[in-house]
Amino acid sequence: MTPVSSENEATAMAQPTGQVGGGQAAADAEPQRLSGEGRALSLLREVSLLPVLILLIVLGALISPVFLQADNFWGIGQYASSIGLITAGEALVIMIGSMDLSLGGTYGLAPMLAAWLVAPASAFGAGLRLNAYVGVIVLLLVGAAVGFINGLLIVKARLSAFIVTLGMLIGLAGVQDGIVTGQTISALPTAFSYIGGNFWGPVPVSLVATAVVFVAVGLFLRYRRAGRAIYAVGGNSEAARAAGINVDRVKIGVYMAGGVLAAMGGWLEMGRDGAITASQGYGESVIFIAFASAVIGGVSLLGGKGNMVGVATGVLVLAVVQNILDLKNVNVFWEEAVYGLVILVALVIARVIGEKESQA
Amino acid sequence: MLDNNTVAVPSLAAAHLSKWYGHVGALQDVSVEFWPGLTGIVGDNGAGKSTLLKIFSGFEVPDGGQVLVDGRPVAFHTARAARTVGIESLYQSLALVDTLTVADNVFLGRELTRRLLGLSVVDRRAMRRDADKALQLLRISMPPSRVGVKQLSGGQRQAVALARAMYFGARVVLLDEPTAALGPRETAAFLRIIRDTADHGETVVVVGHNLPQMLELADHMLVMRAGRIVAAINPKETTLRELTDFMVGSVKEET
Repeated sequence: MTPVSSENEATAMAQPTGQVGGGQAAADAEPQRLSGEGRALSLLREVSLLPVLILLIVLGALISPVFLQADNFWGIGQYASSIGLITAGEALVIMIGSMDLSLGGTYGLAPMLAAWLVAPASAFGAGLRLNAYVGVIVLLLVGAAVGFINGLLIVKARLSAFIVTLGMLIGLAGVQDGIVTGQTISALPTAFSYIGGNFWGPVPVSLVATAVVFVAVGLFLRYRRAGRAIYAVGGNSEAARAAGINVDRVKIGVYMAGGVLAAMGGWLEMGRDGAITASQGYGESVIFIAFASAVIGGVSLLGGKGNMVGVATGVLVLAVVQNILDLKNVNVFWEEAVYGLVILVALVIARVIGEKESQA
Repeated sequence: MLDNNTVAVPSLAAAHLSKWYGHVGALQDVSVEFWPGLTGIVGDNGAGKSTLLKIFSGFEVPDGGQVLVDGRPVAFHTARAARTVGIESLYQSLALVDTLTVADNVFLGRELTRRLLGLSVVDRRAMRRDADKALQLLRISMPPSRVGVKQLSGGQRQAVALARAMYFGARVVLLDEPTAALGPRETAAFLRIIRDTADHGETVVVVGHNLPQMLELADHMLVMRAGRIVAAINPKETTLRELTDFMVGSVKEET
């Protein structure tokens, strides 16, 4: 094999269309074109929801004079904070190519269990009067523990993620209902309500907290080896295993992180409401909104793809839709139906955009 | 290929390896040595070629016998363990993560890091730079390493896997049917790359079906049949006819 012929072959490899004899210049030009296109597409992906968001904002302004007021926006931000955290958790699980329906249960049970341990018996508590800060630790531990159990059942016992987490979702919601016999615990201590319910000036503390978490998770995914491993495991778990990544540990870790994030979301939601109801989470179909927000935000259900900028946009889009429906005073009995329909349409759009991208 | 202070030992060897799948002896008392250069292994389906490679790469554990690297016995049960002693295997389907970039794939599971505020963070710029460099060494036309591997051709994907092996200092590279999924032009280019790698002093082991191709490529040839190595042949001194005879067993075993 002469050097000349091998050069030609190398050139040909960059041009799968089969043009022969383009010379080295053509071989050099090809990569440039590829990368330019790849970059443009990834940028498109990042901002693909911005037009939708702008459209929604215009729509909101037309529908209600209240919509454009600053207070309304901060309110959307506060609502999006608690949903945002559980969505971040769900997004991580979807990125490893799995799903966790039970996050909706954790979102309700974790704060409920904490409140139950802290509240006096007269307010439907257990009567243990646990210190409120210990209660917060319990809340986070519930999230981690549920994630750990899910992880063991799915990864080690090789059970279906759908069945395991669906069963877990219903079970958790049952416990949440059971320990307070369907009642609501209100009059929460500061530790429970401050971040979720308070404002710094006009700015909801929860929005700041969630922004910090999003930035941290985003940087983790991008710049820590464990974060890169999440993409690798989701993209091709066999290749990840062959590359020496401890796939089982990454997966279980992600289920635990998802649980903790969902518990934190529930913590903020409890603070926003100033109370924890038996229906928070499962009873409000929160998991559906989290799932939809993540997917609309560009997290691929096939795993291995997605980022926190996209997730944040997905959360905001659905939060704005919810807000518009509230302002429009859609008949409460029909609101869910409209919301569900809007989400389905959004998912179809996200799917089309995703397909365009994967054709690249 | 010898330094003054190293004794002549094969870079990879097997002593009395055996592997059974139920009642089928996939490998039966196989002893073999691999030296720097390119060794081709040929044989019929079920001759044990792939099983042998899988044992060397840590995907399978032998039922008996020993693997030796640089003359020292080693025992590994994972691909990672095999890699730490310098054995890299390229399996097309397992090798790459489609959703990640070329650079991410070259450094999969072994990302370069730097310290930032006391934290060890992935150094993406260094990874792209080194991945580009490693791929340039293969003299293959590639898009820049920040591009997703999904956009690569089959041969380019193989090159990424090979660049990964070389970057991390593999001394033994195992390839199982590396050109099976490639078109003719890509096959020629990829064969040149692995030929270069062997000329560079690495020990390259290629399992293949294409006998003329293997004869042209290899420095040494091994023929396997029914779980045994039945012939070690100099490709320059053999014919297709002789090779086929060994494969189907119509020649008396000489070795």
